[in-house]
Amino acid sequence: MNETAPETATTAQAHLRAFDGLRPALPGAGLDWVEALRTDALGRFEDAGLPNRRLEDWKFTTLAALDRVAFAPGTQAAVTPDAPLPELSPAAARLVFVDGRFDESLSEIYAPADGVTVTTLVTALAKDASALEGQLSRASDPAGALWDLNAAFMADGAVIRLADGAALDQPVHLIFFSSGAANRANHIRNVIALGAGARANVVETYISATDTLGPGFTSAVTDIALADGAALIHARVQDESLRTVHAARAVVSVGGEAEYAGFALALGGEVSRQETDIAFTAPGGRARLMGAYLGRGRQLLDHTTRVDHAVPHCTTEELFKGVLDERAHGVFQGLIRVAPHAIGTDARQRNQALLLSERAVADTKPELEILADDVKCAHGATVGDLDADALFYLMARGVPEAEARRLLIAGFAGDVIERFDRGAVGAYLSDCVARWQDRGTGDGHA
Amino acid sequence: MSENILEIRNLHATVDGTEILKGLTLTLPAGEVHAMMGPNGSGKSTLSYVLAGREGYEVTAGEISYKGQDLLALAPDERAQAGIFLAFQYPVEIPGVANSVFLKAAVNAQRRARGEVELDAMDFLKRAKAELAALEMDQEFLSRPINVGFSGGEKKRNEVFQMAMLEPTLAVLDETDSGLDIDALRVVADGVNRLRAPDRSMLVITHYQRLLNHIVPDHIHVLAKGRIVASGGKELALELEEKGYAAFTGEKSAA
Repeated sequence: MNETAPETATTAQAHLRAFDGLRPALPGAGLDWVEALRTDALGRFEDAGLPNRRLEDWKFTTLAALDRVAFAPGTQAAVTPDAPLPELSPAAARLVFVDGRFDESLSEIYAPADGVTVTTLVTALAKDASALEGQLSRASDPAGALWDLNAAFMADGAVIRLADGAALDQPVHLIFFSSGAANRANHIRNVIALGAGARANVVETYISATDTLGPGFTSAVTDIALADGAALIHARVQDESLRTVHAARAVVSVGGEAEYAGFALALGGEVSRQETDIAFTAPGGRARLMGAYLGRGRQLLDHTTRVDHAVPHCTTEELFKGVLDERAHGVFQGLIRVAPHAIGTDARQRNQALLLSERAVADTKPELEILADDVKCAHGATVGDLDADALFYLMARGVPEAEARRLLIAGFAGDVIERFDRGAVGAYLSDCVARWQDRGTGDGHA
Repeated sequence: MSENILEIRNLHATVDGTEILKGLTLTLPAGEVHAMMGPNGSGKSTLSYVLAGREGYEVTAGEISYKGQDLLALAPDERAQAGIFLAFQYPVEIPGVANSVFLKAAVNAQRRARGEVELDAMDFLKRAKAELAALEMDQEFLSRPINVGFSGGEKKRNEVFQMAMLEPTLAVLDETDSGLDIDALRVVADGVNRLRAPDRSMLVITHYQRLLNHIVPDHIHVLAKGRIVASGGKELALELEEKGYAAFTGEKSAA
């Protein structure tokens, strides 16, 4: 299976061995706080190891693929992209990262705006590291060994900062292309900070080279801080090769009257885990967490959300929809915690999965921990086949069955996209779903 | 071409093992509008679903000939492509699928099946807008998901709008009047009347006589217990209104 005859047996071992050699080449080398952050994270990772299914949070999802192949971090991008990069138009900027490293030749900032900084982690740490210290340290708080690994090895990513009142109407598109060459592990760290009343749209797209090239491991953490009244629309599209392990986390602090709208779309990957962690820091914050997972073959697609209502009068709306064909396995885990004094909390969570095959599996685990009175909390989950009435309705108008099914599947996913955004970001997400449908069953990526 | 668009002979049909239609015979000539009236549970909707080919509606005896061909051999989409249109009593809500996307797929599937050139986006939109205007419907309707959040009247207008776009040979309207106020009823009936043509037949299924003031049929049939128990001209509707169904079904009126 693994042609390169690894010296080490597992991904964990490969990383531990690589750390000292790689460290001087990682961004922030020589800065005490960065070095300490990496060392502490690595220590925690060494103690805990990669998560396994004995942990409650990992009951349904296995990272055994990381033990079968020794994925290791590297310093240089191995290849240039062999596939056309996805288009999102109009966009304020496009930043392309190849094997986790910024590729300036493929990137462009189309519409620079006042009070807006769009740069990379490498550049930001070299030029103005202190501005990042608070946020980078925060996201490196212990959150599990998988994310400690990211903190120890984070190599690059985008840094987007908006001053108070600044606005970026068109989306910033971040494209992460991984080659899968030489069992490569890529550790990406993005930082987004919006000042008071600032507004922005950010889309992350993760793609990889054709499936023939080799397995890959992508680890991506996006750390987001929204000051009072800020509003962010943030979409993550995971469309990597079917030989990729994709682990991503968005960690978000939401200020007073601020709004975070996040969408996580999982289309590719052998194993995909997309986490979202929300912490409300002042009253009146809103979070809209939405997502879709469309799987075939033996894909495992996991969305895990944790929302911490630590302050009063915040609102959470969650909707995740899955389409699972063949032997695909979908997982949704949603934790909502309401602290004792967080009165006026309004939190709703829904998960709906379509099973298109008898061998497809959907697991759903809602968890509500409500310690306050005077709150509104609700959750619901449904699993089923395509609606027979709807199928008949379309066919009774002359639409052939295969096309009718396709329309209904697109509509099922389209519904949650429409609720999320009716602008350029939503249109882009719909295009991604349409491309997934065009690929058809049974095969990998074009 | 056959003189008769639809010929139903001795039709028996079951739903969940219960026989609902028990020997129904009906002939619908080209260009005519026939009304099918009957009390609840007489089998009106079952007839409409059998014609459209809905799963679970099993024909156990008899035959249906549509323009001379065996209708029962065709799948639901093939029936629609052949020119059959069912206006649903309860149009289905489909979140996430825009009316325009759905209807363009339907129009072009039918055109493909007939060997015609597909409509492009511009031509489709032009035609759709003209039909919407005729039905006093807003154009933003096209971008809304199918029937989601529509009022009862909007749903029925949508059925008539689809019918106008698809130009069927045989239209079956299943209780299109139910849930409509008098203004909506007039708009819907006008829409249906505009579609009357020498080469198009309609079967108007209704519980009440009032729709037939607006869509005046050539013939009226009374359905009871799965069989046609009376047929006649439009005066039959008035008789029904006066005497009630009981006079025709042989049962005592429940009212």
